[in-house]
Amino acid sequence: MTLAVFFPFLMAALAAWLGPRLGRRTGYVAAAAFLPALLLIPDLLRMPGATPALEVTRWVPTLDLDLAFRGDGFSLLFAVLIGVIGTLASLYSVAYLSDRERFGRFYSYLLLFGGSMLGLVLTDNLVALFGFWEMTSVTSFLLIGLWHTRSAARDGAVKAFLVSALGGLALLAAVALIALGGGSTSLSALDVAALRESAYFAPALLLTLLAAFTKSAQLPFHLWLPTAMEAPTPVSAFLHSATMVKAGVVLVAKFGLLFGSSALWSGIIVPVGLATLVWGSWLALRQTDLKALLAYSTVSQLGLLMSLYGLADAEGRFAATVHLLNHAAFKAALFFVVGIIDHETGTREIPLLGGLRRALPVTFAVALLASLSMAGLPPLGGFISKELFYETMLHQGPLFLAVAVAGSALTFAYSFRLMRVFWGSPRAPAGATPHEAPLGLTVPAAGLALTALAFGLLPGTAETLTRTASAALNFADYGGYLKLWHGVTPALLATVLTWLIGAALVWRAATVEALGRRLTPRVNANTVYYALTQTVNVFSSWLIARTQGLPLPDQLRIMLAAAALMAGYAVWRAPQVFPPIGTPPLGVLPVAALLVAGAVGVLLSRGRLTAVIVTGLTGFGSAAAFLAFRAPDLALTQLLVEAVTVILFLLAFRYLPGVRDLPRTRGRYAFDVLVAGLAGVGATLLVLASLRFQAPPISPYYLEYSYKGGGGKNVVNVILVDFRGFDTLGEVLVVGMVALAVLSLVRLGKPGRPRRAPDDAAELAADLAARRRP
Amino acid sequence: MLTPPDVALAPLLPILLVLAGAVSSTVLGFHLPRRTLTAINLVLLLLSAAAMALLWSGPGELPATAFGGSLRADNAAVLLGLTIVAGSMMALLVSLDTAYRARLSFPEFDAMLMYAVTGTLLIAFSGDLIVMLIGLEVMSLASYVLATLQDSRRAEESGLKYFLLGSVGSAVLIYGLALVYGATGSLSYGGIAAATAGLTPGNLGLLVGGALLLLAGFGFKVALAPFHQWTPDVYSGAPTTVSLFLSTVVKVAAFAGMLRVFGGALQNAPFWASALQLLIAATLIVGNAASLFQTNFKRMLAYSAVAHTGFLAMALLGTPGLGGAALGYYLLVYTLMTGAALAIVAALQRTEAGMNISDLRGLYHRHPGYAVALAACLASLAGLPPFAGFFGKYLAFQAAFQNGYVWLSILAVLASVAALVYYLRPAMLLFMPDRTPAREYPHGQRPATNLTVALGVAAITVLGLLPNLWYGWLADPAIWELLAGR
Repeated sequence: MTLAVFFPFLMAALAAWLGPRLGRRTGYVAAAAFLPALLLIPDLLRMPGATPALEVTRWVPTLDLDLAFRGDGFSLLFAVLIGVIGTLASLYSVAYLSDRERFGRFYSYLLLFGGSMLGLVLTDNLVALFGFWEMTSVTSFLLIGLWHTRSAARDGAVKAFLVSALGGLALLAAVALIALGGGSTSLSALDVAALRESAYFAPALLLTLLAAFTKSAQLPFHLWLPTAMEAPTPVSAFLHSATMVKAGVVLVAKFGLLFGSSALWSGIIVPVGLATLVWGSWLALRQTDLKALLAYSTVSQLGLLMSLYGLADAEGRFAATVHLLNHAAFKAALFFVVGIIDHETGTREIPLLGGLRRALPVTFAVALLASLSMAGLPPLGGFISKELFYETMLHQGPLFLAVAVAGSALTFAYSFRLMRVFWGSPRAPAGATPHEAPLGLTVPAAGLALTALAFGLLPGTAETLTRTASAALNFADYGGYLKLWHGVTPALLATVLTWLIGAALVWRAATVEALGRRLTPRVNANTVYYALTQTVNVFSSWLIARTQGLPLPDQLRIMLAAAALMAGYAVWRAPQVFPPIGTPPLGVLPVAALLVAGAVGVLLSRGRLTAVIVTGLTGFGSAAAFLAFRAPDLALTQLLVEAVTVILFLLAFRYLPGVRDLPRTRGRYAFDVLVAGLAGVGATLLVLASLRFQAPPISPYYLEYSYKGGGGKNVVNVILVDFRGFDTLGEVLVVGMVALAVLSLVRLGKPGRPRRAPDDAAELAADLAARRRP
Repeated sequence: MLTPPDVALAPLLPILLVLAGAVSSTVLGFHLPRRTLTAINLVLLLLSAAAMALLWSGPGELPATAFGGSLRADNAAVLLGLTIVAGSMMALLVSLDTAYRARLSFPEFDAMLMYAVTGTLLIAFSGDLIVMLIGLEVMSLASYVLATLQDSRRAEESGLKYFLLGSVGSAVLIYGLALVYGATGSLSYGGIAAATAGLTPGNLGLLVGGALLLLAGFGFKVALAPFHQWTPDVYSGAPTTVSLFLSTVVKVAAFAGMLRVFGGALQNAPFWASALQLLIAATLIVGNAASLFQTNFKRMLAYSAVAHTGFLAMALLGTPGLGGAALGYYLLVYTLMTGAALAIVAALQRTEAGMNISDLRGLYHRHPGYAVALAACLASLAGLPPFAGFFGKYLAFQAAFQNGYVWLSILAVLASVAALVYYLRPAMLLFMPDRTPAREYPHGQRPATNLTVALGVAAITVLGLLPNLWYGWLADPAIWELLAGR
C-alpha cells in the first residue's frame, strides 16, 4: 500500500523529466504509475474475511504522526477504483491532448493527484489524512488552471481552491479535535466512546461536515465544481467525477462510524444531500454545455451518495457503496464521451449538435449505455442502485421518497437531454467533420460503459465488489439484494412513477425551460461568493488607503495611543495601589521645575537650535536631580551623555531643513492633547504607585563587598567592571556603534552641496557616459 | 559571603565569535576588500554555530550559564541561536552578490550586520532583563544604521522612520521593564517568575502595567498591529538585503526575547495573554487584508511578514512546552522561506524598490530555477503541504487552540484562506505565458544567491516532508518550560 501511494509521486518526477522527450507517450508512463494500486486487487478480493493490513512508516514520532496505511475493504475498494480510473484517464489523454500541450506538466500533476488521492483513502493517520486532502486540492487547482491563459480557467481554479481550502482547514480543525477527544491520531485506534463523551464531539462533527460538503460540492458549496470543468476532460473524468469529489463522501462514510450515533449527523447530511440531489439535477437540466450538464449531474449524484452514507445505517452504506461504483463507471464514461464529441466537433453546446449517432456509432453506443445507467433504466447498474436508494429512503418515510423520486425524475430528464445530440438531423459547427474517434479514446469509454452494463446484467459482480467493504463499513449482515427483478415492490412502483414524471418533463421540455427561467433565483452561491470576495477586496483597499504610508506623526499617534490603551487596560484589570507619599524634600522642587520647563520649552520653541538647548534642560535637570540625591557619579555621567547628545544633534542638524510646523487639523490637535495628557497622567500615576521599596535594598551588599571582594574603594567602579562587568561589555558595544554612527554622520556630504539622488539610475548612467566622452 | 565571580567563557563563545567578526570588520575594513571580510564573517558565523552545537545539553545535564545566570546557554538559546545564524548567513551570502548593486559594498555594512547579530544572540542567550535589553538595543541601533546605510533618499527615509518609531518602542519597553523590576524586585527571569507567585495587590498592579508595556514594546519590535506601521515602510524602503536581514534575523531575535520574557519570566503573570490575543487578532486581519491588494512584490512580502507575525505569536499563547517548540520550528522555517524569497527578489530586481507583482509574469520562461523556487517559497508561506510552512502553521494553531484560544484559531484559519489568494496570484503569474519584455535585472543569477536559494528551498521541502529533522530537537517540552531557569 505504501508503494501504491508513493509510486505515483516517484513517477510524477519521472514524467516531468520524460515529458519533453516522449511527448504524448508520457501517458503510458503515467498509466504504469497506477500499477501498484491495481496490484491491490488480490488483497481486495480476499477482503471481507481477511484482517486489514496495517503498514506504518515512522514520520514525526514526537507529534504522534506516522505514515500509516490501513487496507480495510472500503479503502482498498476505493484505491482500486482510483487505480482503474486513473489508468483509463491516462490512456485516454494520450489520444485526447493536443500536440501543443506540455505533457510533462500535465502528467506529473495528474500523478501527484493520483498519489495524494490514494494516500487520502488508504491512510490511517488523521493528520496525514488532512495532508493528502490538501494535496488533492492543490493538484486539482493546478489541473483546473492548466490552461491558465484563459481567464475562466484561472477564476475556476482559484474558486475551487478557496472553497476546498476552507474545507481543508475545517478538516484540520476537526482532526485536531478528534485526536484530542479520542486520544489518538490513528483512525483505527481511536477511543470512540471517549470521543462521544468529550466536549469536542459536536464541533468536530460540524467541522467534518463542512470539510466533506465543500469537497463533495454539496449545497451551498457546489459552486466550484461547474467552473472546475475548465480542466481538460480526462481530468474532469478522473478528479471531478470519479475520485476527488468523492473524497467528501468517503470522509462521511468512514467518519459515519464515529459520528453516526449522533442525531445531528444524519439530521444535517440527509437533508443537505437530498436538496443537493434535487437542485443539482434541476440545474443540470437547464445547461446547454454538455460538460456543465455533467458537472451539475455530478453535484446531484454526490448529493445522493451523501444522503445514503449520511443515514449511517447498514442499509444506507450498502446502497451507497453500490451506487458509488455505478456512478464511477457511468459518469467517467460519459465524460469520456463528451471529450470525444468535443474532440471531433470542436464544441460542447447541445443546440449546435445533432445526429451524431451516424458519425460516431461506437461513441453513441457507449453514451447510450452510460446514460441509461444514469437515468436508472434496466438492465443497467444504475437501475439496481436506484431501486436500493428508493427502498432505503422508503424506510425513512414517504417525504424522503418523494424528494428522491423528484430528483431521479429530473435525472431521467437530463439524461435524455444529453442524448439529444445523437438524434435528429446531423448538425455540427461549420468546418467540423465528425468521424469516429481513435481507439485510444473509445476503448476506455467502452470499457467503463460495459462495466455499467455488467453491473446490471450480472448483479453478482457488483455484489461481490460491494461486499468487500462490508467489514469496514459494518454492513456485513445486510445484503444479497442486488437483483434486477425483486417483484412488484413499492420501490418498483416509485421507479415507474419516476419514469412517468421524467417522460413528462421531456415531453414538455419547452414549458420546463420557461418555468426554469422564471424560477432562477437572484441570489445563488456564486453571487454570494463574488459578493464575499468583493467585500474583502473593498475592505482591503480601504485598509491600504487608510493605513499604508501614513506620515510619521500619524504613525506615532497610533503607536502611542495603542500603548496608552494597553496601559489603561492594565490599570483597569489590576488597579494600582498608591502608598503614602510622605513629605517630598523641598530641595527637589527647583529641579522638578527645571525638568518640566525643559519639556514645555521644547513644545514652544520655534527654532531647532532652541529646541535642542531646551531639551538639554531636561538632561541637565536630571543631572541636578542625581546631585540632589547625592549621586555625583551618576550626575557626571548624565552631564557627559547630555553634552555628547547635544553635539550629536547639532552635527545632524546641519543636514536638515528648518523647522516646519506640520499642518494639524483640529481633530488631530485634540487627539494629540489627549494622548499627551493621558500619557503624562498615566506615567505620573505609575511612578506614584511604585514609590516604595518592594525588596530589601541592594546597596548595603555592594557597599560591603566592593572593598572586600572587589578590592576597590569606588563602589560604582567596582560595580561597573566587576559585579556587572558583563553589562558593561554590552554598553561598550553600544558606544562603539554610536561612534561608527557619528563617523558616518560626520563623513556624510558637506552641507550646501546637493547630493545626487541615488535611485536615479538614469542620472548615474548619463554621468558615466559624460565622463567617458573625451 | 562573597562568591567568586561566575565568568565562564564557553557559553559566551558563540557571541564572542560573532563580535570578533564585527570588530575585525570595523578594524580590517581599512585594509581588506569587503568580500574578504564577508568570507571571514561567514566562517566566524559557522564557527559560532559549531560552538552553539557544542553547548547542547543532553538529558539530565544542566545548561551552561555565566555571570550568575545573566547568560543562559540552555537548549532554547542554542536552537534560537542556530536559527539566527542561519538567517544571518543567508543575508551575508546574498549581500555578496547584491551589495555592490545596492551601493552597500563597504565594510561598515558587514560590521553593522555582525554587531546586530551579536545583539540578537545576546537576546537569545539572555538570562535577565538587562542583558536582554542590551541585546535588543545593540540589535536595534545596528539595524537603524543598516536601514540607512545605502546612499539613497528611500533608505534614509525608511531608516529615519525606523529610528524614530523604534526609539519610542524602546522607551515604552524600558518603562515596562522598570515597572516589572519595581513589582518583583528582580531582574533575572527566574527571580521574576518566582516572585510573580505571591504578589501583594499593589505589586500586582505594577507587574501587570509593566507586562503590558513590555508587550507594547515587543509588539513594536516584532510588528504586531497596531505597532506594525513601520514594517511596510522600512522593509520596502531599505535595500532588499537589509530587508531580508530585518524580516528574518531581527524578527527571530525579537520573538526570542518575547519567548524569554513572556514564556519564561512572566509565564504566570496575569492579563498579558488576553491583550496579546487582541493584538494577534488585529495583526491577522490587518496583515492579511492589506497584503491582498499590493502591487509591489517587496511590499507584499513586507505585509506578509506582518501577517506571519500574527501566526508566529499564536505560539506564545500556547503552554510553554508546546508553544515554545512550535515557535522554535516556525521561526526557522519562516527564516528560510522568507530569506529565500527575498534573495530571489534581490537578485532579480532592477532597483532597490523591488519589482511589481505584474513583472513576475512569465518568469518561468526566463529564469525557470528561480521561478520554481519562488513558487515553492510562496506555497510554503501560504502554508500548503508538503512544504514546511504548513507544519509551522499547524503547530502554532495547535498550540493556541489547545490552550483554549478557539476564536483566535478560527480567525487564523480564515485568515490563512485569504492569504492563499495573495500568495497564489504571483505564483500563478510566474508560469503565465511570456508576452511582456523582461523587466528584471538580467545578470542577477550569481552563485552565492543561487546557493542561498537552493539551500533555503531544499530545507523547506525536506523539513516539510521530514519535520522531525528539526522538530525532533525542539520537541522536548522541558527545554521550553525552563526558559527562565529554575
